[in-house]
Amino acid sequence: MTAATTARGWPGWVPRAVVGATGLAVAAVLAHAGTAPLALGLYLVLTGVGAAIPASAAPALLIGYPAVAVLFADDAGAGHVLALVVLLHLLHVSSAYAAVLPVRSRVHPKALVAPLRRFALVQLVVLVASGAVLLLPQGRTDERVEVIGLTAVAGLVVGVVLLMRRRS
Amino acid sequence: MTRADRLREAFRAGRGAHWHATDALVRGVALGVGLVVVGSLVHRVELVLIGAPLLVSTLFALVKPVGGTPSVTVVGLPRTGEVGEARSVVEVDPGEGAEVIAIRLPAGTPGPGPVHLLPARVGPITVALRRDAWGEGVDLRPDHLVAGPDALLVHGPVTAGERGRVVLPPVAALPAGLLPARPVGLVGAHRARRPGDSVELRDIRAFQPGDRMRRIDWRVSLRSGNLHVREHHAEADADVVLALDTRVDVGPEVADWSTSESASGVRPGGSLDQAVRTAVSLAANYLRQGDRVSLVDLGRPQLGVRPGVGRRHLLRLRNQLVVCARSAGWSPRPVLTHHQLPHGALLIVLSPFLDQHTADLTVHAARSGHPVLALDLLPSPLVPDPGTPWSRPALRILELEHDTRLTALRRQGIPVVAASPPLGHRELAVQARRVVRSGRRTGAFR
Repeated sequence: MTAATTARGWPGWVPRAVVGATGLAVAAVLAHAGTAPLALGLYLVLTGVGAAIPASAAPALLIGYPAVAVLFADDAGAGHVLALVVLLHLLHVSSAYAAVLPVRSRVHPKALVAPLRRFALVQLVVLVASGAVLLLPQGRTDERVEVIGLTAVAGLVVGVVLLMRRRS
Repeated sequence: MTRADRLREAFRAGRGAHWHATDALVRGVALGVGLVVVGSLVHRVELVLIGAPLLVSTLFALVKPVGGTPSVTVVGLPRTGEVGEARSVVEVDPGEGAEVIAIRLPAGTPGPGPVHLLPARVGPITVALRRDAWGEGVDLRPDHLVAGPDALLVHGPVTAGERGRVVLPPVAALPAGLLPARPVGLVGAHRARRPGDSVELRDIRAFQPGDRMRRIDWRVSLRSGNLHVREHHAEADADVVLALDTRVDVGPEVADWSTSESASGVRPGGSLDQAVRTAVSLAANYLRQGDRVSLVDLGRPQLGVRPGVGRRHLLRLRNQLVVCARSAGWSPRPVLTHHQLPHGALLIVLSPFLDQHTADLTVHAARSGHPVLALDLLPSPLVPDPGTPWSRPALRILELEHDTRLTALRRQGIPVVAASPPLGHRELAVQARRVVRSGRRTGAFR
């Protein structure tokens, strides 16, 4: 039997603070990549809204906005992209948990072990894929390879759907 | 139902006690797939890399099936208890595939407490419940929400039923000597007016047919030349009536008199709180001596308790006092009928005596031949309302009226004890003993 576990834990605003801090870190990455100040200001406002109301569309904008902004940034490099890969994923996960918790709640660290383990696993997979991408030769990709890649993405989605159907 | 059907239902259905999708699932699917596909189409690997973790983590989370109906069960929570700390166990059945549960549980403070994010497979949770104040309240309301991986699919939030409780007013030990000690082996604790078999001498009189031979006082008989017998007092229980004035509940701050203090309806440290605590302590002490104790709610006569004895009766009185306190403040005039006041019973009136009606009722009971003790529960000193310029003079008038009422009671031979906090145990004991003695002299105790 578990002992009285309800007396400890972190305050409920911690997940929202993580959303806010991650948003600020993303803004810092964008600023370093040369994003326009106006766009950065808008992103900071979005960060505040996302931290205050995580159960809204604000986190989606917080994730989609940098992805588009990095395309038009002047000095965006591989380091910026890799940082955004980690930060935006963290933003997605922390927003998901913050959305189901009231501010005046208690977060027990044991509850976050499995999500953190999964976060690390996903990041490992993606970073390995990123390394593979960096090792690939630069230049125009052959059309056939592109078609194969897109087919692979579509196959991945279809495979997941079939997997879900089979297991249900 | 297939997984696709469940996902479709999860997207269509609203929030509540079923599995449904959250914004995070929509975000993960839309952004993950969207960024990967758009990045591939426009030949920007950055978009693919940013979208990949969202897509992969969403797929990881969805591969693990969720289902079943999560349930939360509270065990070992008695409805009635004492002031202090209690414990209960909450058992969680999270259902299939659940990863975390957000559940409302107390955390060292009175009341239902905040929401706790715990692992879904936490097992039985031992919950410490704080019960600081007597009265009715809510110990537990285990509202819960069960979430799958990354909170993409959730079950709930479910608003659980409240687990109410009644915390009985505490019993404070009054000092010894409040009433005469009970002789062991005899019935009753108090000397009655009528003759009986106690050891206390009542009279020496001439022998009458029917008198027992062993009662003959040979010394007096030889001296007088006629047979005389020694007559002793009988011993009997006393009837004690605790009359509680529940119509008003006031604290030291006059500005707060017109406001309700808490959900339980009783102002902590106020006159009603003090009245209930004093009544319980008095009842416990009288019942311990074998006396019959009854309760009268001057505001609601139907809430009274008939005279009784024993520990179960004390429990009944404590429960009923909570009920009286809950229904307090509804009657404009106090009611005390002769049915509620047995002949010769000791009447203890617990009231702040803020109106003339209670004083009149007390005087009327004393004139009917009952020994009466008035416990004044008006807090002292009273603090005037700082926001009103006339508060101080108005308070002075109120205090003068109150003093006049108490003086009138004393002139009627009714002892008045200030029982406002801190309760004057010594004075209460002295005055109660005085009332008992006067009751003996007047023959109120049969």
